[in-house]
Amino acid sequence: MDEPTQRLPADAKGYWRAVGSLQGIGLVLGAVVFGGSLGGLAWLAFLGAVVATVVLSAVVPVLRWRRWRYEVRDEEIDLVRGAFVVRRTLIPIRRVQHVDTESGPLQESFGLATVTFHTAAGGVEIPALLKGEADAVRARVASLARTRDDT
Amino acid sequence: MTPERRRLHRAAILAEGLGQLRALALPLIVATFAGGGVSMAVWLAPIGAVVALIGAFVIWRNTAWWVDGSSIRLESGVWTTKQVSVPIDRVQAIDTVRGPAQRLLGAVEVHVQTAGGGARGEIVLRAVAPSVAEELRGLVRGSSPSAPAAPSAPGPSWTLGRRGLLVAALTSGSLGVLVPIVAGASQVLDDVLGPEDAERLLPDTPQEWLMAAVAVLVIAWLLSVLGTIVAFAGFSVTRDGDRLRIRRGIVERREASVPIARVAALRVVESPLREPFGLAQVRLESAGYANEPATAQALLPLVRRRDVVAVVERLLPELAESEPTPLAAPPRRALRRYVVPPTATAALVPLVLVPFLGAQALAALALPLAAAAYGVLAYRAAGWSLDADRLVLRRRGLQRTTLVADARRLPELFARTSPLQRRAGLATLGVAVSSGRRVAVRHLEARATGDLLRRLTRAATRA
Repeated sequence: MDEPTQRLPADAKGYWRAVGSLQGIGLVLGAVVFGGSLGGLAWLAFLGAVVATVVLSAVVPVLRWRRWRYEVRDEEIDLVRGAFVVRRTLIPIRRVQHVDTESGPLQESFGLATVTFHTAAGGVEIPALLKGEADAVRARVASLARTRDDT
Repeated sequence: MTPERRRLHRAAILAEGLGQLRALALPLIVATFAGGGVSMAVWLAPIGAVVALIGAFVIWRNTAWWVDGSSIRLESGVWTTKQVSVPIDRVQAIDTVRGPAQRLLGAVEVHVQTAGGGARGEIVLRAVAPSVAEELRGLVRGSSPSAPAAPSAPGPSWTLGRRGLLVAALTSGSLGVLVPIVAGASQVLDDVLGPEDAERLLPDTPQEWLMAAVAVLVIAWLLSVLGTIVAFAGFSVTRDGDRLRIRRGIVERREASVPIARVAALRVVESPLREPFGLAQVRLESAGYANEPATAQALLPLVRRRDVVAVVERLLPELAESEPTPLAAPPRRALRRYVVPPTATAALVPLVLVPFLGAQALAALALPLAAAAYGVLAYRAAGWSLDADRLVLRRRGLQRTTLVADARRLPELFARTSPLQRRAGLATLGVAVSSGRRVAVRHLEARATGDLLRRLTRAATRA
């Protein structure tokens, strides 16, 4: 069984950078507001927040994107992902109960969508596919699994 | 034909009323101690009882249930009406519970369980006649009406004897019960004494802390002994065609019937109090019961470890290991990965305590030693085997747990590697079973993990 080969679109990096920047802004604001209570150590909280922002918005998106691979075969869905801890997940298609695609406002602005495969054990998702691709993956898995195709 | 709307059995009024009284009891006790005095309690208790019964009667009047072609429906609510409808072909099981009120008036409480169900089942009929529960069971089984309503010949069964119950109770201590108790107790103390007096009760010296900890542990243990007896007294499990019927409990007599097709896996759990004696509990991993408490998942509440295979073979041959294969273990070089992280974490404790306690903190050095021993045990427990679609994964958290699953029905398989594992050529392998539980074994040989993942995928996708 070979490793999966399909990559996520390059836009995924931009989307994750945007998400990471928003989280970073939250962290920095938090450090500014609550750092005062730390007295002399306030600068440390601020520095930590800035470093975390850089990692979240610049480093992690690239690492994640470089690692992400997926493939939908006739019998199983195969995913490889993770910036530091690498996870490979296999979902037998006949265990898929239903598939859906979803796109939040921020994703929408990048033209991306998330595909989620639901099984009895929960769900596994491909987080940032181009909308057309996402619909194609959903339709393919739904027809392979002959399941409800609800969007 | 419009389906007939039915009322619940009258025992529902008593059961509901008792339930509400129970909810009132604690505030009443607190109010009594907090200054109302006993005379107030004497006044309040009967008023509370009357109010609870009237409330329960109104609820009963406004509750109806019926079977409408292909689904079971329940309508309830005094101010706003709520309707729940469960399609019969989605019903996993009809479970019954007999609480004190139901038993007194000859009724049963019915829980309609579905795959997605919460802890209590999708529809709860507070009280119906026992014949109605059987009628519902017949409906659910009904897709093949030829199936006999009652089993013609009783299948193999297993019971927990008096001695088994006693040993199960004595070895049942689990730290999980502590959290609500400690939280509840501190809440009550705060209410009764006020925060300042409650604080004075806190221990001052390390010796007092130790004594308090021991006292809390003993109380928790006694409570879990009691809880186990209440939950498992009269436990029996019977194989009845394509179902397991599990009966248990004294205060509330419960009867659950679990469809074999829904049993995703078994877990053999050896807790620290049981493992040294070669004892274990076997639990069912089944789709409708994922959120139920552990007691509801017990297939064998207490069994000798070496008898597990034989008993499972009789009750559930679908998941028995034909002949138990020895487990493949993680490689030797994985040992230090099991030992170092817990030991290093535990070593922080004495380091932090030294400035506060001085030389006394040296006693805390026992912690990293215990953590190292735990690491060795965790390494020794880890292992896997895959033989004719029977997957076995064993690992140790606090307790040693062995998962036995049918590889053909796994909904998710995964492998995971951290940067350190990649450098050492190790990997973590895990599966999810359809109850939603995930089990992973850490630090296996990376190459063996890849091979196992491939074999598991082949088993899970083969037609």
